Amino acid sequence: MNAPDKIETFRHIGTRPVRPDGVDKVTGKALYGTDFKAPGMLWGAILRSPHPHARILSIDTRAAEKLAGVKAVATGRDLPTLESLVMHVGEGASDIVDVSHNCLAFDKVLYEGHPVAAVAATTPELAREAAVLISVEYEVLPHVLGLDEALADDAPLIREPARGRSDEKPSNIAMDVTMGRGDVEAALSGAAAVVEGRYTMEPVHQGYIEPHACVASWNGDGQAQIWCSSQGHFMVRSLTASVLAIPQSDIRVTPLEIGGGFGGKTTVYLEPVAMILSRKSGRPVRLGMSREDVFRATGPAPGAIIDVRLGADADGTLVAAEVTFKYHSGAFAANDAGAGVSSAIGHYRIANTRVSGIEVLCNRPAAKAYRAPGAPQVNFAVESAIDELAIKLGMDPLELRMKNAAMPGDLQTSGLPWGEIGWVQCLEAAKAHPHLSAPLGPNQGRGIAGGYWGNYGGPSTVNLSVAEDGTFTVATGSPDIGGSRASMAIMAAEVLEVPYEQVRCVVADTASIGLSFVTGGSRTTFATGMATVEAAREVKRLLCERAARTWQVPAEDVEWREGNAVCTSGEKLGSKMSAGEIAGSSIHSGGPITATSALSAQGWLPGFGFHICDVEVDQETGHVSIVRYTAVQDVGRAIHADYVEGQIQGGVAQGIGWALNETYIYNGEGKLENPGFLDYRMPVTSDMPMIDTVMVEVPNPVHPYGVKGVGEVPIVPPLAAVANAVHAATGKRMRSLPMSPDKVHAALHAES
Amino acid sequence: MSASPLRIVIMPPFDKEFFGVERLSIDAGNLFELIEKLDAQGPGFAKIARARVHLAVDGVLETDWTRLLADVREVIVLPRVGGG
Repeated sequence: MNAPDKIETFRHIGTRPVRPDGVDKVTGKALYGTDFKAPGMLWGAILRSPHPHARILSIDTRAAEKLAGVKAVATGRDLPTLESLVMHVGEGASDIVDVSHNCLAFDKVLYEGHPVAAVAATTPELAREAAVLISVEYEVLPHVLGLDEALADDAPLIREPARGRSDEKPSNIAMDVTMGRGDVEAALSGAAAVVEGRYTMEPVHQGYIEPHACVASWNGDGQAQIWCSSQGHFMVRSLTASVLAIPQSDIRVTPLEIGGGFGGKTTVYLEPVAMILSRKSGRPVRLGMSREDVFRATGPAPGAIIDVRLGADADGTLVAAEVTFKYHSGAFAANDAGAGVSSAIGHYRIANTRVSGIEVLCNRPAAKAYRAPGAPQVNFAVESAIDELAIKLGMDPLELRMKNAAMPGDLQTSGLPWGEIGWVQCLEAAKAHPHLSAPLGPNQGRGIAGGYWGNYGGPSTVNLSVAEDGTFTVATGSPDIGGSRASMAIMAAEVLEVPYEQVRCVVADTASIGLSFVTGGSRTTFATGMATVEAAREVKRLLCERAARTWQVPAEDVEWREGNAVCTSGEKLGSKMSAGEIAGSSIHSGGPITATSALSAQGWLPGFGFHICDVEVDQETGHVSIVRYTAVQDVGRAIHADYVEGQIQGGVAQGIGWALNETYIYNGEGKLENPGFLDYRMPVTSDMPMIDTVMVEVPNPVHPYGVKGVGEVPIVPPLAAVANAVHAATGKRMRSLPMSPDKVHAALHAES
Repeated sequence: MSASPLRIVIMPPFDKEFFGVERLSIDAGNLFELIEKLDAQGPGFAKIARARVHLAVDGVLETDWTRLLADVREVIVLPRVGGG
């Protein structure tokens, strides 16, 4: 185990105070997207395509418009014609034309559930009735769902021609990325042991509990308000303004509580449509999705076909790795391939590498970010292959990983050197954990896997103000998804040396705080936290300065200690003033005390995790039970330990669902057959054991409190950890997800 | 302006998409100027750069494009990765 060089002690960092939003949430008072209502509000409904691929020949809205109570009808023709502009305001780059056409189809529908028209009426029932009265004439086109099918020479083209490849034969490839170095073929041919395999999976959904919903109100003077839940209200403002071709300052977006996002709420689906309906009707309009809508029309994580070849010397030194994958892009260009290439094999030191990924357009909803987007799929393949290689070499799979583990200074796949990563420390912590040597029961097996995610920084704005009584308010532009209000309060209280309860944190609307990037990319505790610390330091300086002027002493003679300004020399030596005393008289010392920090945070570091999973396989039914699970992760430094552990447990739970149960099932007509939680089987509490967490702290030297992002890493290793455990229990290598009972049963009883 | 031309490493997909090469040598005072000069060699690159590109200066990702390049040897142009 690596003990830290020095033990730092903190007042609040690493503690577990009560979450400030807890009471509202457990009593049902918290206002989520579906809860908000505005005076005079109309109810909207969306008509969605029944076809996975069709040309829109005509739309007749007259019958709907004649229905009493209907106030507005909108189609794609109501959205302005836009020029192509690639924007990065959510998670990954999107062309604003694609965003617009995904909100309301223009000339073609590209997936079952693609919005075609929308209605606003005085009741939700009327709105739904009117939507059905809209008559759409389609020319049904051949559709394609599968990756290999979409790449076939005779595959229907989703876009005509496929974008960005006009000099080549049109295809459904939306993006291709290749990175690597060395001579892979030569290294593989000289390797003592080589394993190779193909791994597959269908798309899975983020599975957030709260469906998308918003209310928009667009006045005759051009000014508008939107109330919605999202992972970034500045993203909602930017994309909505761009889709509608209006100034961003004319839209004020108020964030509501969010019931889960996991990357899936980093774009707009409803907001521009609600705005159009509001402008047409002159009334606020609410639009919301049903669970079926969410499954049919919002972004899943891509399914994949992944080919892996790994080679090692007889002593276990990895000498070559080749990973080639295809990801579902859905109807519009997605971004997961780039992240997949970056996240495949960088946790190992390998001299010869080639990682290549493509995004494939098909007639499914456009893929969107899902917790470490693009990483779990390739990691499943690579960490399964590592397990197979260890068996072939006769090595302990943990020792094989430790022998080849990347360390600070080693090169990533991109060629950039790793910074202060804690991967080796995670492996050492796992090796020392009692789980690894605990006895197993009948039909049980143990699997291990490791993985990583790059994390991010970026723009955040924080305003920290002092009330007259000396209490503090931190206003951020970052929606609180994983406990950021508590984390910001902790970091501000740490700087200000005051009780946690003396600091409250709010999420301010787009008119009340400066630009902040989405809560995603595991960036908020890092980047918004950095801004919070900077603002708190400035407020502390201002408080000391006011005290110095009050005492008529030089500013350098005043220090902040234990939540008070203290005079450290001269006639006033030992004098103290609290924040309340200073702020209470601030009107007579220069005015209110407040500080704003607006920054684009740099110096983020990736997070690494290592998981140990025990499963029990029912030989008769093929059902796999998770009987014990331990997740070890380098968290930089945990600000609110409960939330960090909760993020790790949540990521593991979603990864287990991906491994064992979750999958999109389409029929031959290209229609989704399981658009609900009864048939789309996410894990529930009774499926899970207690997920043990081990927080390894290798602080980020750039962050004032050592923060590294933690939210995404834990979904990366579970797919392979579970698969490796199933192999250990059964001797069967499961290369296709999910490892549902029917597949496991078939593998166990292949001979029959 | 850098003392000697910067070594610019163009990572996929930008090498094929805009430049047709993996290596370039360019003089630039800061990263904004570098983007401008890259756009001259690969028209359209500047338009997508903010949304799709990360720049690494001597091995470290740099998001402040006012960063002066006087003592810099290498800039890597690589895809910007999103998160969830």
